Amino acid sequence: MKPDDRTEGLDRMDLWAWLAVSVTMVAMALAEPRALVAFGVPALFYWAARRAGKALPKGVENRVGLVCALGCLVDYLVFRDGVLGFALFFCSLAAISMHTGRGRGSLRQLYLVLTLVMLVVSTRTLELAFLLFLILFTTATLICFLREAHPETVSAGFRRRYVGVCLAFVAASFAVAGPLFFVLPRAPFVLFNPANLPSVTGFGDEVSLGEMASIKKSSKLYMRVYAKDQKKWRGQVLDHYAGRKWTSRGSRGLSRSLQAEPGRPARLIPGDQTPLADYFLQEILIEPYTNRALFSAAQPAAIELIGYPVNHSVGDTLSRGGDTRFQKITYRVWSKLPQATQTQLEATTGPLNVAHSVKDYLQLPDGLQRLRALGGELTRGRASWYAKAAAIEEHLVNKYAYTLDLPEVGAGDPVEAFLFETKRGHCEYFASAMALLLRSQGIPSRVVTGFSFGEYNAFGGYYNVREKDAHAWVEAYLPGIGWWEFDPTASSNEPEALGFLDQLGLTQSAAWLQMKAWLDSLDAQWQREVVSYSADGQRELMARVAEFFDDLYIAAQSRFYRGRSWVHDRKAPLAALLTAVLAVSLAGGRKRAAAAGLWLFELIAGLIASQSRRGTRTARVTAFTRAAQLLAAHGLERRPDWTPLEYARTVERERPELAPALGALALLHCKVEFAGAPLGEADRLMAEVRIKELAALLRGRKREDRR
Amino acid sequence: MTGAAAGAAARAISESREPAALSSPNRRRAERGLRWRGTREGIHFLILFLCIVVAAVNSGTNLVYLFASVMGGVYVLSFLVNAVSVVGLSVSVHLDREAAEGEEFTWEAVVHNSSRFGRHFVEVKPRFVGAADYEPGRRLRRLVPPLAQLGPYLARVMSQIVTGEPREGQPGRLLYLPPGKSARVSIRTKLERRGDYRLESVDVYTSFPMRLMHLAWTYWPAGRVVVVPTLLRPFYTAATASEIEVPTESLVDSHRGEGLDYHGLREYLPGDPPRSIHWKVSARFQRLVVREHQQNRSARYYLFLDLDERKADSRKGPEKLEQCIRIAATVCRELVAASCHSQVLLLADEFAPSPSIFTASELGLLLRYLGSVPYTRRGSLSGMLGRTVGLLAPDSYVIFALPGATDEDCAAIGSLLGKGYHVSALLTVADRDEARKERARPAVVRLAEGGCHVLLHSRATSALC
Repeated sequence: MKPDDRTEGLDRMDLWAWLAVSVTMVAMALAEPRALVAFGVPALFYWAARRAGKALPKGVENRVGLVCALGCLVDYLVFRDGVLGFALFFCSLAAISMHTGRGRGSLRQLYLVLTLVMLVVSTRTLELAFLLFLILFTTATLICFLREAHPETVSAGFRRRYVGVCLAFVAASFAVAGPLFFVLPRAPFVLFNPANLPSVTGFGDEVSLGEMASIKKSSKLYMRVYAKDQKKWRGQVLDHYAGRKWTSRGSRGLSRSLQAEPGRPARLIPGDQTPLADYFLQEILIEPYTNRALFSAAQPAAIELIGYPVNHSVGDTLSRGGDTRFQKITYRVWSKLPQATQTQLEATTGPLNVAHSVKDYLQLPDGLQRLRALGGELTRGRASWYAKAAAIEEHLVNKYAYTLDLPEVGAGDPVEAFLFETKRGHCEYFASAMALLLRSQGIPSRVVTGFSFGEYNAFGGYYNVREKDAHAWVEAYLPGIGWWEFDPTASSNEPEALGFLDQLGLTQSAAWLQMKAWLDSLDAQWQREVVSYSADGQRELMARVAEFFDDLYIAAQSRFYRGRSWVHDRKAPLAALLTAVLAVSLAGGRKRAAAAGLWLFELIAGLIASQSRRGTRTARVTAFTRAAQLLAAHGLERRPDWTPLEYARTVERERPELAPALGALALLHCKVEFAGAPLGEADRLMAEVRIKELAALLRGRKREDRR
Repeated sequence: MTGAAAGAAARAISESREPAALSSPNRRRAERGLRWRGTREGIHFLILFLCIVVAAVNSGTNLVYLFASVMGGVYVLSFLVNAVSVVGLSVSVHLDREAAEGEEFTWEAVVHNSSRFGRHFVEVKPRFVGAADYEPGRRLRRLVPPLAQLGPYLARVMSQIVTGEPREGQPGRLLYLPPGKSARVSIRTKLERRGDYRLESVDVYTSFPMRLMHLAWTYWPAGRVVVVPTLLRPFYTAATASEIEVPTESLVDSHRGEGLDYHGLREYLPGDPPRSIHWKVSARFQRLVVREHQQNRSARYYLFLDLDERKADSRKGPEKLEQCIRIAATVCRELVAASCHSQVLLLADEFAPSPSIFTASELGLLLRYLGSVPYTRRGSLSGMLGRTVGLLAPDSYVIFALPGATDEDCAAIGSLLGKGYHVSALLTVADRDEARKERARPAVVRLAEGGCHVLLHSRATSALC
């Protein structure tokens, strides 16, 4: 930046100032394209005036600013987004400030306006690109400020050097900002919601047939799933068919609200005490949407979603309550996957004693005679319930075609039209047809909407689930097995729309795919570690740090005692060696060496003396004392009037798993302290081992408590 | 005067007026080490940072938290980089010089970076102490001892008011100081008041990179600057010199046998005091040899300078006193330039002649003396003259430089008339009005009529009134 105060408008803008403005505007435009208009209109006005060589009258910027403010007001009245209205006004101000500012004060104004725009951007995006924009913005602003504060840097000799220095400074600033980011306190409440959220259809309590076709054409990321295995991620369970739409029981108020706490997932199966480790764990990050559906693999057993209440409807449908925020929803679900062998499935031949709760899944609208007849025909001769369902599934997969461009159907039932007339449709039609066919044969069934597997990213170990992966399938109730998944949808032969790079053939190369996957895994890390970082995560982090220092303290203490014992055992040769070194140093006139030797001598002598003071009691006394300290740090303090054995017994009542280690230490203590028994090397080793065992048990318990 | 005597005189001048000791609050503050001071940019930055933190808490958006963290990181890193930049340097200074009042002078400090880190935008700013006597707060100095009993805090505050803040010079700047290298920093300094200044400390500070804060570390190199009085304009001094009859040739009048200055050896003559016999030399030459002394009576010009500290209490008093010193310096310069040996006699309760009789080669010494001479308290002029006049050689020129004279002073000066002295009185006045009043004052009129050259000076007009 030129330091001369007389320069005006664009003349004082150098490369870095342009970069700061450009980065801010690009970031804002990506978050909200209307920003380009807000910035571009006043910029074009000034550019045209400059081009025409006309001197604008004094104070014209006030009028331009007023017009821009009015424009932003209109934008607010249309879109009802106050924060964005202000942001657009700031964009206009930046353009005006660029062209009319004079002196150093106006530069600061420009940077202030840009900072506010970036602040709004940070509330409007969650992408990794924001980090890049932030780095560029910080660098450009830093260099501009440096040049303004120290105009000497503009001279040629320093220009290059200080660009490098500033880059290093920015890198170091981000390194410092990292810990600060994780330490800054998170508030559990949110006062304003700065952004409008998108919505997708197909995952509500009511789904009209054909709705899903619209989202299946979009490649936008919907969620990321961290799981060991690929599954169908079920969302909404639809059980009531009313001609053209499906509804769920949740819409009829048949749901209960649950609240999970950090480290204590909400159990979905009443009375379930199965360890969560036995279930299939999924960690899911849903992009900001207004949809409230929560997804999981089949039969969710527990869920941990912090900050929102969870609604659990009959049919294992999960959804979140609370307000909608511009935030990623992160939660963990444990699913009890239905398991059955082929033999077990084939053995589902008995009478179908349908429980009361399952009877609703046999609902069929009146009519549908052709459908009922088809169902009977398809299942004829099949022995087991599973075989009947499989026959229907096979028929649909093989005899019908998949399409997203739905043909026009008449006024009749759309499922019958699909089955007997058009014979083409997408997953919703296939699933609806199978569910109704199954119901026509007395098999309870329901339509489930959700997402298919998604695309696996090997770098990050997760599945990218996009809107185009939206899917619908069927769950049928089999006696002795429970709800079992069937997917009757035929495979799609529709070509995907190709982008420009696809047409060039660049996107199919292995290097491109690798790079894309790597970048995507970076983005996933960003979303998981930064964007989804919460107050709960912060507590977890602090607990881990405290645990680390706890371990460090125990390790240091252990090493200290071990070192003292080692010195004590070798005190004679050590003393001789040190005396010799000291004598040689003094004789040789090496004062520093002598001073260092003397200091070492004093240290070792001190250690020996402290060891000797304690005499042979050292190891057992310190072992028991250390054990008591450890336990006290975990809330098991020893009362002064307790003997070691009383203490051990008390601890045993509270924490039985600690009893062997503490009991052994207490016995050793009593044996040597009160009975005067000698303390051997084996005893000392045993004491060390017991101490470590205690520490490990306490640590393990702590972790488990947190989990 | 011999070289040894001149050296002794210079030493005496140096020691006669130690710079004002660094007051304890100043030293305490300076010894705190790293000092932080906010800047306007930094305060704006912090306000913005706080606003963003508030936005982050309210919106719960992690990217706003990230934005705030980066801002915080920039601030924290600025602090660290600045701290690293100013600590661990060594600063050395060779500064022992004179400067004129209000005249900018340039000197150099050598900054050495012995660490492995480069230092950016280091600024070196000196702090001088001294010349506190002329500060407006000097009137309070008399109040300090009783106030000190009220408590150390009040005493410290009062002492700071009295002593005055150290004067800060313009900083010298270093854009980059590589590791292991030294660099010279050119520092321009302007000290407004005459006096003996000591370089108290050098503040090395930096505000890299965005001027978000000033971080300073104090170093303590030794240095000294004597700010001498400004010499007045030539036409003014020429007129003054002609009025007080500055001769064109040198007058040297040596009286052997008197005084304390050693002259040589000669043979004993009857009547010589036995104490003058040089016994060692007599033993060597086998006859009596005596030491002969002489008194140099060339100092025919005596300038009595009145720096009565009570006169500094009035509003225009300090300025009149300073103007008085400037006039005395100018007159002495003229006399010394004309090879007239002259002596400055400070009117004080304790008779305080200058430690030297200044010759032409010692003009610098004279100015240095006048630059560092302090205000003193004096009694009545007549009493002082009664004690002093016997020491003056007959037919001497006696010049009084007074910041205004009372009737009693005029009477005392008039008492010298008719005793073989050439008496002149240089009276400093504040302005033309005061000059007019002085000129009409009977005591002054009587003095002028008695044969004393009375000159009225004012800085406002810089000319004779």
